[in-house]
Amino acid sequence: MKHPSKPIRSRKQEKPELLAPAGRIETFCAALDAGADAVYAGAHAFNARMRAPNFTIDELTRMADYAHRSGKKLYLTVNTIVKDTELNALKQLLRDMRAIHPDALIVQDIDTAHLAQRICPNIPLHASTQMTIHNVDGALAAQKMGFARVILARECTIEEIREIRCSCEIELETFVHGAMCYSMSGQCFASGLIHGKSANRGRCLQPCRRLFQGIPENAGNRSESNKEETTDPSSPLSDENRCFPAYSMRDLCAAPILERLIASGISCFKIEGRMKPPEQVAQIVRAYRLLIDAWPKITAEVMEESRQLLETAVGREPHTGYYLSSTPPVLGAKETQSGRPVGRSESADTPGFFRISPRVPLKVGDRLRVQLNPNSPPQGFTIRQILYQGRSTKRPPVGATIEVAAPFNIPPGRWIVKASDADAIPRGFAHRI
Amino acid sequence: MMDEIFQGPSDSPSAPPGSVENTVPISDDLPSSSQREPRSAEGQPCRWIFLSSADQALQLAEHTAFQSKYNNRENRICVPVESVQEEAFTRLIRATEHGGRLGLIFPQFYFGLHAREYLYETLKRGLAMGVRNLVISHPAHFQVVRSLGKRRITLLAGAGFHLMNRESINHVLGEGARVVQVSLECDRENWQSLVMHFPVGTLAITV
Repeated sequence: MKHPSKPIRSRKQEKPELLAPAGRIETFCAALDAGADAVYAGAHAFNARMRAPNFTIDELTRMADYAHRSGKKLYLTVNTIVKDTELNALKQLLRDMRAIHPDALIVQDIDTAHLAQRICPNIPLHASTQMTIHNVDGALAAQKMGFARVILARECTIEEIREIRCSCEIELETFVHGAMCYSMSGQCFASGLIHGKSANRGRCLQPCRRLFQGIPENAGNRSESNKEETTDPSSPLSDENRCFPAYSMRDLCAAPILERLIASGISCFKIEGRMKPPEQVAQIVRAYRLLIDAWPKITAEVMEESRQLLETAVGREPHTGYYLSSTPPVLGAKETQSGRPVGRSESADTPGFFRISPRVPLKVGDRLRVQLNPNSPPQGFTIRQILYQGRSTKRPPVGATIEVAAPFNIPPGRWIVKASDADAIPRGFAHRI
Repeated sequence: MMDEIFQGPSDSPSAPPGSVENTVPISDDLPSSSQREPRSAEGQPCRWIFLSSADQALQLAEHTAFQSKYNNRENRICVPVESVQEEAFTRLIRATEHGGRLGLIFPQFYFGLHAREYLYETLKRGLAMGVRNLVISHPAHFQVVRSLGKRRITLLAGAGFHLMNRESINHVLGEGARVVQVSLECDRENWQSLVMHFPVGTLAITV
């Protein structure tokens, strides 16, 4: 067998492209304003984030124009497994895509690649991470199939990425930030089997984020660092029912090792999260923009500035993912929801309200999320009213005990997280494109 | 653990073991199956029985009840590639018509060059011992199969390909697969749409 580790040719090290997600127009504009080189987005069909608002063909056309006028790129996702009965609809979508003139299509199913090569041959194809390309053979197969770029599986280590880079010409893209799957990307049947919503068809309900009851305390904690976390007395999950997010992964944050990733020959750094709100995407983009622009001399000051930006972008506990270790970075007993921990709910005197002493500032318009029981997804709501000392207020003092209106009953003891901040949501973007 | 995969009735149920009719050389120019005329279903479905080790497979292959009912070339026993290293593997070869009814299942994931080298060397050894069937589950596996050279191997494209439409299935057949196991998420309506387009014996489901 030919040894593929011998470099095909020496490559000039270049700054990688920064690619951001967009599930709605505000996020698209916020990502470009914050410094993304490219944005990826999906239409209303055949896209791996069918729960995101997504875009009409008209919106995508205007977004592509706007991106190109700004010297940026727009990639469109057509990355689900397609049923035989849907082939005609797929062909129509690809004809629409041809008219949009995106800079690439991100595809998963082999048929989509074949049809795209026939229907819109001038649009480059990127192999979605849903194709689970994680080794040299996979990259070579994608190259042979006509893909211009491979979005590597998140499970690859830096060393494995380097081996792939040395063995083929195809561009490599990898995730640097965002949520991770417990199962291999693109190979998970859990949501489909449990909820009838297939992750491979863009409808994942994230059963891996649920709390599991009756699991030994250290279940899911495969790393030494996690063992301590299960006994953390301040953990929101270490009490009554002994429920654990046994399969819930920490969020990926590759900022601390970005230099090493650049050195491994990656062409594009991707941020996960088409469901993420615009302000969160913008903060993450700013942080990685700083680092990439500072490369090859990323100073401690730049690293610190980037860290602070990322800290304000709500997310789960960060981790460098699989890049340095093949051990799955599960959360252990940490909070499984994405967002900034606010505190526990208490009984309120006013019907329709719950009481809380928030750790972070809350105001009317902020969005909160709570998991009411282990077997159902977290429920979110926007704060419509806050009572402070019995009087309605929009911005209560930080640290004060307040009563917050909720559209459903929140029993005492539930852990509340802040999913987005009303002040940070950009407005008026829709008029720009 | 045992998985069983049913394939539509074979083209030639009475063909002798090891005959060319039921195997295809790995080739890039295999004609698209949709160009062939579908044939009517006859005979019994072929089974690809997945087991977790050579030892377990041997117990099944040598079991009297199995031998009396399923010991024919339409039923293949498949074990993971690493089973080649087991002591029981040599006996398993003998119990499966010198490997003619024995298949090796590729690991769906193998990271890094060492794992790749191990996979390749183990496969070569298994094929040299007589194995004539391979079960693959990722487009990357075609690269490995090609690097093994032109051999008479029957390839089953497994559920890991998530195949649910004729375009993808034709691609996999074009790459050299002889049998295609459709996605575990393929529903009845989609299955009915698919079977109209392929010759009997091409598509398989997991049971």
